[in-house]
Amino acid sequence: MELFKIIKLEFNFFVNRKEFLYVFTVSLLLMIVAFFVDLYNLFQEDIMNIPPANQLWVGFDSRIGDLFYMFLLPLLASLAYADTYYLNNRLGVYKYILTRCHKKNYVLAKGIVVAFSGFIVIFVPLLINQLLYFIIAPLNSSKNILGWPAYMFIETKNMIFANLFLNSPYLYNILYMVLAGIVGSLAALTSYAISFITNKSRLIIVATPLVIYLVSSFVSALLGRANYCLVYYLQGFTTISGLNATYFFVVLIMSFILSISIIIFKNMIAKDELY
Amino acid sequence: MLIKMRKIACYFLAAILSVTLFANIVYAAYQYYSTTLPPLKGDRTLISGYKTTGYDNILHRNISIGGSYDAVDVWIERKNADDSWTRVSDNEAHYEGGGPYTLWANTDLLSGDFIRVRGQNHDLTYVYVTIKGEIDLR
Repeated sequence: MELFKIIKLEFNFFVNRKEFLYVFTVSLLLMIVAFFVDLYNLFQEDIMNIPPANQLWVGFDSRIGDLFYMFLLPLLASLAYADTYYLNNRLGVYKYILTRCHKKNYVLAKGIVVAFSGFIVIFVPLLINQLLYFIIAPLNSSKNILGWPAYMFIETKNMIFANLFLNSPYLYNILYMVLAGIVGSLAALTSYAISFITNKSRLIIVATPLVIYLVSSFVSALLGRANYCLVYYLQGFTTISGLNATYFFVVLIMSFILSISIIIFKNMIAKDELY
Repeated sequence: MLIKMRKIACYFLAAILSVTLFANIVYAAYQYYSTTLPPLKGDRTLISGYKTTGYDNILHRNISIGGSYDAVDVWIERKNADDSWTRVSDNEAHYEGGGPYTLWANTDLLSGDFIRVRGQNHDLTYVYVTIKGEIDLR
């Protein structure tokens, strides 16, 4: 019962938090800008020359989408709510909270809301972007995003879920929105876990998931193994060969286990001055 | 007799030249290129040269891209009188091992126009990526 009360309280803090509103606005603005760029390019174009809405979606094959996925996704997710434990600790607020509830419940409730915050700041703007394209683009079209003639079908050989794309292209996009949301959620959870390890700087807590994400992708690309860059698993359409779904899900599960392990170890096993 | 032989020689030469020119027009003249595509979708000229025909397209084949990258976005640009360049086609994705691709210009290209084929990696990359292939500017 206490856990639900704290979750509700944390959720209220999250929704009213200034940083969340800023991050959500930035994320949403990017999606709207991407939409307006395409709107400008396709203005007064013959309907036969417009690709379908699912292929215009920012998470499918878009330059702004590329930048969003490559540089912003983990940072936006971490900025929304993941540093609040650090701030509570730094400002001494946690003492007042922990004298009124169990630390276990407090940490768990915060963890749930942090994970939710990372998911929501990524998933909702992506979904809104897709909905916007329904206004200007047809649901189905023989024209594709690759600029190929109508008689040539879009290349699917590098897609992990090619069958889903061919049968239900919009469900395929929703799947990719959820995957991006999960990665955002894990980035926020990683930040949250790091806030238990160090309380030196807010920047370290917020930026660490982005640094891990960028460095691992850069090293993979440098070694000629671009198929191990996480960013290419988050977009609906890439031309990278050798993408492996098992590798992607193992990375997600491992980062989840690692974050949870840090949180459990630092709270349940290592005792502080209050517990 | 000598004049007659000279005449025959002239006809023969003219015939050979005509056949050679005709062959140039009919058969594609692919040129090999090899370059690197810059990171973060940087642009690079794959090949440049004069149009030898009035066809409004170029041909692209035998594409090979380094690493795990599989496609290059290609477009045509034409040189203007003031040495600036104007894009004359849309972007088109060309896959490694695919093709031969025909990339159409959306304007009238004339024989003697100086054009270049530009390319960038289809995906946003962190590193330079090598690319090789053959292009017929036509």
